[in-house]
Amino acid sequence: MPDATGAALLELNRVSKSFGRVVVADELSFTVAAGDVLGIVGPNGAGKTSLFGLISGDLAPTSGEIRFDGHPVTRLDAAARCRRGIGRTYQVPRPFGDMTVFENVLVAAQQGARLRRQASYQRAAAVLDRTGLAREANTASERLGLLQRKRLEVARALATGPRLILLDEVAGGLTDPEVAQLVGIVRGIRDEGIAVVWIEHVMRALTAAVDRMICLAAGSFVADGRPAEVLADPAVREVFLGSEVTTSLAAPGPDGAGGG
Amino acid sequence: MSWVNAIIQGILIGGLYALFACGLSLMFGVMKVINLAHGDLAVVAGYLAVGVIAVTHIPAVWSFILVVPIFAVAGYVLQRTLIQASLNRGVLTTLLVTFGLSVVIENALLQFSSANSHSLGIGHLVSDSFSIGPQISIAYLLVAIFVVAVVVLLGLQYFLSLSRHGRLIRAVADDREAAQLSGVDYRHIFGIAAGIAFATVALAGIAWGMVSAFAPTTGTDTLLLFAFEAVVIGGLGSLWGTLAGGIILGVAQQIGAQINSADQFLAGQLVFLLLLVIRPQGLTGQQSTT
Amino acid sequence: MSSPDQPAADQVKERTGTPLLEVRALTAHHGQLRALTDVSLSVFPGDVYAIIGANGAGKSTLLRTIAGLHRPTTGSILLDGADVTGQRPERRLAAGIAMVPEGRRLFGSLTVEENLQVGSSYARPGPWNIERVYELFSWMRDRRGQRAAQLSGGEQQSVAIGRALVANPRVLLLDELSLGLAPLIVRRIYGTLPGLLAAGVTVLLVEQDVSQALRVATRIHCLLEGATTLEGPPEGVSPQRIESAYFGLAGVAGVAGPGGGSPPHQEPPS
Repeated sequence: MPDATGAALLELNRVSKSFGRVVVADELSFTVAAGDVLGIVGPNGAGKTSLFGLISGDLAPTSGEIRFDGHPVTRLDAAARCRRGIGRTYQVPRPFGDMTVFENVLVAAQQGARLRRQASYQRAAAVLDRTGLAREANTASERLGLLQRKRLEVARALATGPRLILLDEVAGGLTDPEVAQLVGIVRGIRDEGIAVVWIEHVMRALTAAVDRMICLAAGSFVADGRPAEVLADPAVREVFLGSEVTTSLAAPGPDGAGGG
Repeated sequence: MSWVNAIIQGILIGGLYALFACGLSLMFGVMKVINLAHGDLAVVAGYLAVGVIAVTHIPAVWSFILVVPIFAVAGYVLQRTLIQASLNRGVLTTLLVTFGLSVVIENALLQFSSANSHSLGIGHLVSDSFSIGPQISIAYLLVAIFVVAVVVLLGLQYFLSLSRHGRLIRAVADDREAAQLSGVDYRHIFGIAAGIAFATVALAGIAWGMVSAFAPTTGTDTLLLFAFEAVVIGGLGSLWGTLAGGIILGVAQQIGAQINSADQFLAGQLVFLLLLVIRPQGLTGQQSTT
Repeated sequence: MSSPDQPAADQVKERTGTPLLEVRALTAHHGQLRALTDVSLSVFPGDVYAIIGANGAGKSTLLRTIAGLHRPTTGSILLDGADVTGQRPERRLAAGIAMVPEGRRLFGSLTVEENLQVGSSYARPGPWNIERVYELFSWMRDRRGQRAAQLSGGEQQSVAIGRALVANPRVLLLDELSLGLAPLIVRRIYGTLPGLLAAGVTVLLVEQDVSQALRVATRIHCLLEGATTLEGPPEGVSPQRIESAYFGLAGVAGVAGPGGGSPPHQEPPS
């Protein structure tokens, strides 16, 4: 496991969650340090969005402990955790439709970051700059295109002044140049010292942005390490491709290639 | 009047309330439509019966023979046209449309008739009664209506459980898309469910016209409220629950009347509110799993 | 070779004659999100045609569009040469396309037998009926009075397949059979496929487990972010090609940066 780049910001300690008999998180433990950029991958139904729910406070764990910045947050709800510094986007962008882009971000700055008027305006404007939405500030958010909506999702999360931001499948449906722009935004977030945890299916977006990757399957971690290592890990391949393809990949092929 | 008498009256009138309620419950259960015009439809049926009697001179008690089929067809047509179109636009639109329908009906009735109340004159049948002991007096009409209500509910239950179309209705209510994949045109099924709902509410409206009186606004003032309360108390999804809900409402009202005749309806509302607080899913309903 | 193979046009036209089911240049959206880009495929009688790919690849959208539950933006769907693109799902069932939807989607308040009865309400003439389904799944007859919601996941899957079969389809669409089921149950259910094929049903399936798909498929089609990255018979495809088609990366050992190994739907910057 790569060394943490700084002090532990988010700690999960044997966190479990079940819905009746269905276990979506099975004694998960990991840490995220300030400045980390962590990608989470896994097949359908692996429990990725549930994991985000547990971190952001949308879901209460069945057992286990979650600490943020050294303080226990397990009992806090989503709004309280947001104020502590955990920001989150949602898979399906849902802006406040008839409000403008600026107003959307302003709500986040005022409610999430509890900023007063002057400070909240400045924060909103700054965030719009960072996410490339400055030109659309006065557009009604329901009129935005897909990439812009995703930028707005990120902007709203950023406006709450997070120290850790959770990105939930933001790259879906984007073209190549759009993915590159998104990766640029994520890098900008990292450069400001905000830790990033990113669930994604679009692999090339992740591999361009993250330095650490975790694979989740059926509520448990299967691998944790650098992206290249994780994607070559037989356990990870098995989760996505099944056992036979994985075995064939590991065996030396007729041309001597294979393995790795 | 004695308490026992009040309870018996309440049970009997509860059958009528259940008849009102089952159409509302069916439309919500199958197509998730809350028909705010439900009560007004009963009133229209009453007025139509008055008209039919005037034209054909058949005895009032048999007026339903003509009115109920007309309403069944009207229900199918209205569902396939107006309500289906609003469903395609969202739940809120449908609510507004049925609300608008209610307003249109009431005002149309006020135009064509006066604001005065009418009832279906059945002569001495209204008050003919038999006695059990010195304190209990039961009107034949009420017993007849209760029996009709139970028979209709039974018939509906059998139709849903055993017939092919009943099965299709239940399937569409469970999962509309999966039903489509099995070749079911859900719009047609919705139409059938609406036709049944309209038929039962017409029958209930005519029965109401015999025991009581109706005016253009009785639909929203009184009837919709009773139907709603009976459904909520009894719980969605079970016709027997609806019967129980109607009976509880009726009994609560009659007991309230015993205490203070002005508080008759108030007692019913209080029971309704109490149920909402302690058991919002109703007597037979299941708690929704989030 | 550093990028996934483009599906060669000649590969698709290898097989001659009128396909039983044909999808031409299908593009579909979910609101603003483009779920499918210019997807084409041909299914011939007797095929087990498997569509694989990661989440968000568009697999289920493709199947739902073929079944008629989703309207495509452009493109067409043909059954035995006849255009069915505008037809509602009910009409497609009458034409011969039946789908077992993702997540089973049984009628929970109905019994097992009632579920099958609904399935046969608008059935085409053919060899399949409720009795034959009970023969295919031997446990079902004894449990036919049980409410569908009380069955286990694997049992529900069998009932869902039966419900589609009794309509006597020509093409059976199976959407993610293995989802939420234990591996042993999955194998058992896939074990019924040969019986279906022997009775003249052609199968088009979506499967998340690539190895499982390869075990049963006569033809493989891989989707990545809504576009085709691989199409052809499974025998000719190396595991490496499958892996790169699935993940869209330029081979895993040397994980490329942005722009490396991207799917073939590049667009000019807007």
